[in-house]
Amino acid sequence: MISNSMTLSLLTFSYLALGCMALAMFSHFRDTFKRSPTPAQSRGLYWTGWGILTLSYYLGIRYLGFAYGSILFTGILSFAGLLVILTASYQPKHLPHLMAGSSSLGVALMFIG
Amino acid sequence: MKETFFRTMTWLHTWVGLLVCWVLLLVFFAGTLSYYRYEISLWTQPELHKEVFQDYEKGQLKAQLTQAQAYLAQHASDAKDWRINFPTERKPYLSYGWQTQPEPGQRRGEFIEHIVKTDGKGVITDTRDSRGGHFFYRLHFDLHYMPANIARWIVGFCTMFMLLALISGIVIHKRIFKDLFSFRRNKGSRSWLDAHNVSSVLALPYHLMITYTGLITLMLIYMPWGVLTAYDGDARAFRAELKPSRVQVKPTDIPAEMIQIDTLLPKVKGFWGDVPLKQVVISNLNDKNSRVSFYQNTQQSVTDKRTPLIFSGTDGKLLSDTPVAPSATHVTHDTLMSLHTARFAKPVLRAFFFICGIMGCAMIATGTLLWAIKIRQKQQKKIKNGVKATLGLRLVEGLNLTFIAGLPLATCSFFYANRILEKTMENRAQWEINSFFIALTLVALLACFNRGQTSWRLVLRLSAAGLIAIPVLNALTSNSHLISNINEQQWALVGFDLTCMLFGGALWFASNKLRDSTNLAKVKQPTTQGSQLSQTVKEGV
Amino acid sequence: MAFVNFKWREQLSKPSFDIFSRSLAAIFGGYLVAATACGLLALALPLPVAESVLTAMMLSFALYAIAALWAFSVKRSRQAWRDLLCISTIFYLLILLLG
Repeated sequence: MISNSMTLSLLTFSYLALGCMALAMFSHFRDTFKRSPTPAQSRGLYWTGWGILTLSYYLGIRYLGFAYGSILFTGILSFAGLLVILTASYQPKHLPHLMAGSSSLGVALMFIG
Repeated sequence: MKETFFRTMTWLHTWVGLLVCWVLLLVFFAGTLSYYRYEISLWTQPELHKEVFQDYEKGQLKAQLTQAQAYLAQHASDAKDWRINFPTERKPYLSYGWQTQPEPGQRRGEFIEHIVKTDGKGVITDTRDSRGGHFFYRLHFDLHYMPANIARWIVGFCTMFMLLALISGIVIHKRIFKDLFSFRRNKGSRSWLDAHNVSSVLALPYHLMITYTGLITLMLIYMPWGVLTAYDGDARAFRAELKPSRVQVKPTDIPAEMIQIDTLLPKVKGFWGDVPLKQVVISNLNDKNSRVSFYQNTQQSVTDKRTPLIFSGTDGKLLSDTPVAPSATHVTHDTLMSLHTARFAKPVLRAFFFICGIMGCAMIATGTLLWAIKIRQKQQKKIKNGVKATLGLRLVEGLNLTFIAGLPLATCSFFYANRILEKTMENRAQWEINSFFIALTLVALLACFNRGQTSWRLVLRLSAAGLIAIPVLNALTSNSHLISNINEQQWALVGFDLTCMLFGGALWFASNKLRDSTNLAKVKQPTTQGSQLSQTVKEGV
Repeated sequence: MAFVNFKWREQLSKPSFDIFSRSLAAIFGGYLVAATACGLLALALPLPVAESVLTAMMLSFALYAIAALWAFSVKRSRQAWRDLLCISTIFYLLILLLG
């Protein structure tokens, strides 16, 4: 069952990464924090998002093989993106909390699984 | 043809998409369901829900093979071939199958499958006549009520349109990454546009992949011209070179004694080690040219290594070539094919494929809904003054109602027919399928008279109620139910019931939403801010 | 005689005819290009026969898509027909030359 908990934690990391990238955008940042982001914040969030994405992709292909890992990662990205969009449009205030919660769940799963 | 390339692409995206979207929706819908083809088939055979499911046991193989051979020799001695199917993750039961000798003029005989109970002695022969998940799989490229080759050309044509719609869609959606996470709810047609964008962009790799690989799976029909030039049109020679193991040997008509199949197991183990087996096929029974082929359960590997080990059925000698490493081209082709069918996907990845398929359906549905809304807006003034909506608009709205709201209802009625129709009924499997299309036709008739909110709500609520009640139906018409299935860890059956309930709930939610705010017929004017996207849609129209 | 009075020239320059003609060019002309390219690549690719046939068939749909987009993006529908027919004729001649 190692691959299932692995998949779930990859999903949570992707959620975190895409959440960062959403917050890097002006309108989402404003909806969430009720103020405008500084350019440095935007850039920081954007590249953090990319960093986490790259890292989780690396983890994926490391443990599941290049072909299977890549395909699974594409699927995970689509689904995580959907979740981020739903949170950002219906519960923008809770986006950071959910990001923090989901990524700690992911880390926990990594250690358990 | 328009002033700019951008406008041409917008125009193309609208029309190419609109012309074939209902066929595409049917194909996408049925294709998405076929990711769970075996699970649906399991559910539609309630006879198998008790005392049948078992796991693959490699220690049992020898006994199972011996028993299978004895059983088949007794019941199917004059068959064309025998198949012994071992339990796999998605078909968790042992079964003996055979193909009867084809009638004169037919290419294939009838397929018969007897399922073995877990005690190893009892055999279930009276499963109900149903196509199950196989219906959706076939519907997805053979449609129905028409010759398969015509249907495949229609589907291929529409797929090509889809490919063009995707490419032109990418070109016109300039802000593809800027708008990646924006979904503006409760904003009338803007919300529909956002939903269209979100469902398209998020699953874009999937959409491109599924469209192109869809063309590739049937390319021998659509593009046989390479075979024509390189093989002088000898498609059989090409297939033989592509998949040598698929070539069938002719019987010699010299009778010969068959060996005991289980004696081949050590040899198979010598080649493959302990990999699980999926199937053993025995062809040309009791003939000098008889063959025994072993297929392995390839599980997770993405490239499809379905090369069997083929032995002579009379002396047990290995006849297939020792496997050579396939070339890069073959690997590419195999990968593309198995990407389309997702046959390698384990449960989690399968779920992602399913979700992406649903997003594809949503993309098509929102696209055509958006078109109808925009056109209605354009005609709003005239409609207010009592002029009828144009024929084109009425047609599109009617087809939208029929296919978008009708398909879930049709699927629902298929499942109900599967459980309610008499088991002994003549042409039973066909009547299950008929009920699918009858439901669709009824919605189409409704759409002739009323395409407004009331109809949408009625159809959505009907299918929602039906789907939510699926576990009840299952409990009433089979010898197991949701709770007992959870206790016995029959996750395929549990998953079926829960997924139906989930979708029923979603449809109910959608029907409520319809009443609240997002009125399909009466749409709020788009706000001025950020109207660039709605502008592109208007230009397209 | 309605047939004689029918204003061919005027009809042919109408935008609706232009779209109709382009659609036909995209569907049939595009297919012709893809089919001849597929036949040509199957012969010309420097791979074992079965592999080059496979590759040719897999690539042909991309060519079809490009050809169809081409038919809609050139200035006049006549030009679309001309381009697609020219290309497929060249491909066909090459097939004859190689095969």
